[in-house]
Amino acid sequence: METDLITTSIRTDTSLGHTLTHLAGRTLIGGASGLVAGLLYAALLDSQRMSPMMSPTDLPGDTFIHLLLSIIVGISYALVVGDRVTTPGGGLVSGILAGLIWWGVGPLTLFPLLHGARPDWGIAAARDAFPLLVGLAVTFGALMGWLNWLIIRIAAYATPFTVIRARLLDTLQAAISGGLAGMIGGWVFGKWMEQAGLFPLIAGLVAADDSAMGRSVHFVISIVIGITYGVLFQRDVRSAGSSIAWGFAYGLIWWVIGALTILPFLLGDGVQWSRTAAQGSFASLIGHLLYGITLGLVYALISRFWRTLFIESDPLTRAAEGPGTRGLRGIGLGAAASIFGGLAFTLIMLATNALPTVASLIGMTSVFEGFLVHMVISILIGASFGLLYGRESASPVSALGWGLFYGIVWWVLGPLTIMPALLGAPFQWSLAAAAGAFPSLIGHLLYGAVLGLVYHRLLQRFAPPHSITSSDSDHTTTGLWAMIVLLVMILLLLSV
Amino acid sequence: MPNIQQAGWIRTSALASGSAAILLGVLTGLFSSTPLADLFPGILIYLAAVLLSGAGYGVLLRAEYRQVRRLPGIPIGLVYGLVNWLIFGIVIIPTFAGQSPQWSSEQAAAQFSLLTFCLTHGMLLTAVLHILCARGWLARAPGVTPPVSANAIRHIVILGGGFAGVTTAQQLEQHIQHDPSVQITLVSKTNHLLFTPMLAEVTAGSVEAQHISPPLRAFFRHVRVVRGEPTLLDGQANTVTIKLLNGTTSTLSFDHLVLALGATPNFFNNRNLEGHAFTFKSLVDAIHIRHQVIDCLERADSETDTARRRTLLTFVVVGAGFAGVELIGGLNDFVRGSLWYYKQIRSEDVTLLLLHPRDRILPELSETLAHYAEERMTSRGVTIRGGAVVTDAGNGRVSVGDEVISTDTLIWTAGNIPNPIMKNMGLVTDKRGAVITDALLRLEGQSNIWALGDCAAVPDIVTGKNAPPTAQYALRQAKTLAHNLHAVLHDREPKAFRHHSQGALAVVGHQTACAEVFGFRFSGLFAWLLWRGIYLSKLPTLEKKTRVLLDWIVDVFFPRDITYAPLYDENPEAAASGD
Repeated sequence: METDLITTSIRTDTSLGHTLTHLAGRTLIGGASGLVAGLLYAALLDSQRMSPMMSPTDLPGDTFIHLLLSIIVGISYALVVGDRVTTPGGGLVSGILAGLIWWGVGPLTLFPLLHGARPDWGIAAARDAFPLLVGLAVTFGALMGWLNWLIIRIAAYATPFTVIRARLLDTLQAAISGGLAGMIGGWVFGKWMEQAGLFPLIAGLVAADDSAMGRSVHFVISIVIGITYGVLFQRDVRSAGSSIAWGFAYGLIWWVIGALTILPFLLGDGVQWSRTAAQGSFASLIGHLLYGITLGLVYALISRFWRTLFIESDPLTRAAEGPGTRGLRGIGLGAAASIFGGLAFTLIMLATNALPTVASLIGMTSVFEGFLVHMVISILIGASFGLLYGRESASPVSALGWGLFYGIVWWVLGPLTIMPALLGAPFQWSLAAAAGAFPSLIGHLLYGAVLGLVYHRLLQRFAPPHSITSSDSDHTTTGLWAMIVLLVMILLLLSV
Repeated sequence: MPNIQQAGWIRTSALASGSAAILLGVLTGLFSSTPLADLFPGILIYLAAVLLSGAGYGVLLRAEYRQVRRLPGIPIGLVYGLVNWLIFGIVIIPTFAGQSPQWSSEQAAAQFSLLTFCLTHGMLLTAVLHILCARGWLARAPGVTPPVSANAIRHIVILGGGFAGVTTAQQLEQHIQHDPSVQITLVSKTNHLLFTPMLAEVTAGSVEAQHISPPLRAFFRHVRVVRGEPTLLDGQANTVTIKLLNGTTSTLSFDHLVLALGATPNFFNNRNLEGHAFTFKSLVDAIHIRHQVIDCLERADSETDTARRRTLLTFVVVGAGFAGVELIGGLNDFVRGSLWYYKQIRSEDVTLLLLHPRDRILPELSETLAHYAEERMTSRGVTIRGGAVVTDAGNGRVSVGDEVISTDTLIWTAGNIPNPIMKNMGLVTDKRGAVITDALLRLEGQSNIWALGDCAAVPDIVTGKNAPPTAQYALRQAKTLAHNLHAVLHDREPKAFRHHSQGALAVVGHQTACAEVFGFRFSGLFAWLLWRGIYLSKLPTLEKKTRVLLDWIVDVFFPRDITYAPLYDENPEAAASGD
């Protein structure tokens, strides 16, 4: 309500004076957010003896230039997307996206020019700038985006008590759901931690060294992260599909904040943003992603279960179609679309001779049996895509985006996690295993892209027109940034 | 094929993509550096790739461009950039360079600069498009037409809310999509589409009435639905007068008129039959018959007079086409299956009589299948009498020649005639009363009045005869008609109606059916499963499919419902007292 009023007032009052005042306010807020985030980022880099300007020598003017650029980035962010961000989670995630873009514009393009060199977008230069990618995306960008949202909310604070009370109740419910989801996500992540013998290391956070204490600390952290997820993203989560994307992004964030920043810092090793340290923590990255996927899915299921039973079932607010019709149609169309995606993926599986491995899931070895198993799996995943993303795929590009994202999710779940488990092997979360499964990643992306596009086409063909409502692409696809960041990171981490 | 507005949008997207790429190349000097220079051997190939990419973006988003606020933002640009990298960086460029696709992580990492380029290009592309649209420049782009004026809007009026009318409107909506210059109005007497193949199941109590009748308004996004009946057609002024629900009339002007008014029962001008027989054409008919049967069973259970009791327990269906056979088969199951509740009625007290004037039932099917159906129905308790012409009817009786049969329940399925409204509207009809069309489904001598379905005599160029008045043919005619209307609106040639019959199916009793599909004959359980599978798939809307499927499952495990809920109360005082 508050947001709507603010947005409406912005849109309706178009006088020059108001516009200038509004722009000045946004400039101030953006500049302040950028400055604070830039200071923290510079301080953390300084602890690793790195320059935010990637200077070969630490020049005195570098810090000043960096802070000036941070202010400019903050202002640009505030003017371009500031008004469109209405939730804390949205601020966090869009800020990270801004950080990623600034990494490409700054360290890879502008800084070399400032140093008298040509911009270099090659893999070697990107590898050198890896710590800055981590820092810019997850500390500078996230903090800037979140601060920008916070200051705008505080400046516009005029919420009636009844609204605050309702929000507090919503937040409490989101926190409980998030906590439960975090616990289940922690249980999934804990399977690998137990296998890798990491619980004693976690116990070091509370000056202990036994597994039981480590396990308890791990669950407490998982629940706390789950609670923060619920609180931050409660208004962003629309369906289980988009919630998985938010959870995926949140898992990636906590890999940087937890495994690369806080944990080594508390253990006395300082912040570990280097590419070598990130490579050493690759298995933890996959674990965090799996935790995020579980967190997002379970949170949405709890939240949607409540909404479906007690809110959306109200005839006064009910949608034209019930979840049953939508769900069944989604499953059917997703399964049908996945046949095309599965066939596209088959081309890569044939090129990389991966089908016999797939056949071994049912104790067979031939290419044809592998193809059949692969198609069955493709159809099951496609049906789940229709169920999870049916409501999010109203436009072709959003369907394409969700398809790609779902492909990468299943790369984490499939060849790295479930398939080794089904074949009786431990989780394959090492760099070498991921490098070996890279063709599969391309295949999963191809599968997802075809699945999404064909699903959208089928939806247009077979769904009643009133049931297809175009969603706000910006909102639903903001979570997809994580896919891009992850792919960039994977390329940087896997390359020799 | 994209229409002219979409073509403008696609061109604009391609130009935006090219501009973004050139801007990017100039700003960063990327094209002169490796490995981009290696990947794009020549500026023309580079430009061709980015223009192609931009056109692809335009094709993907061609339905979105009308609303600037819905244009995708930076994340979508990034996603599109990623797709371009996958397509060009991993597959196309290496293939053109004579290499295999770059699947491995090392090979993909070598394309990192291209990934950065593609992501940046995707973002710039969305930004340029936003600027173009927000500034209104896109609206002046070549090929983009201005908003349609009221005078340029063409109005298509479809009369009839049955299979033919609804499918025509649906197909037209798909053809026309977002074209604001075409308006469609559907005039229907009811607010739902009746799925007639399952009507007998409603009477037999295995399916709820609402579950086979999806509301018309659930089908359409742009079509306007008007409840009413046409009363007057002015072909000169291109107007049709509609009698609305509230009794008033409304005049609709049209550019094209589609007649899909269906058929009504044919009593051959016998007023007695018309006055005493139940018809079996609508949802209300099915519910009335069901209530009548339950009421007869209730009364017979406490009736002591033998003759009166026999009258109550005799159910007569006239006509042995699909409707009559499926109805009496279902009624037989329902009545005999419900006798468990009525302790005073024995199975042999009940007579279900199928009367027809021919030598065999189901003339639409082959003789062997008809014999099979007759044998199965007889063994289940249905009495079938061929060569029986019903000549008269009255209270508690029906006359077959000189013979009088005592019954309170006479159901008429012995023939239909095209909707007589058309004669009243002054249209030229054949001897059955159907309007005569050419193979394009256009009325003879008319350029903008079309007809299809049971109300039209449509020549079938496959057989050389008129197309039979069945739902299967009506659906095919609707698709052809929608295509033709769209073609005429866009100054293209319409096509002739052509259809090969795919066969026919009929249920004759519990889990027993006859089917003739593409010349193959089936009977028994398999044919019954075929019947259910085919018609369930054809039943409109997933919701109704699910509800009918649930009805069928419930019917397996629970007895038929014999609740008697009269549509009108014969004794208001008793109803008021709750008796």
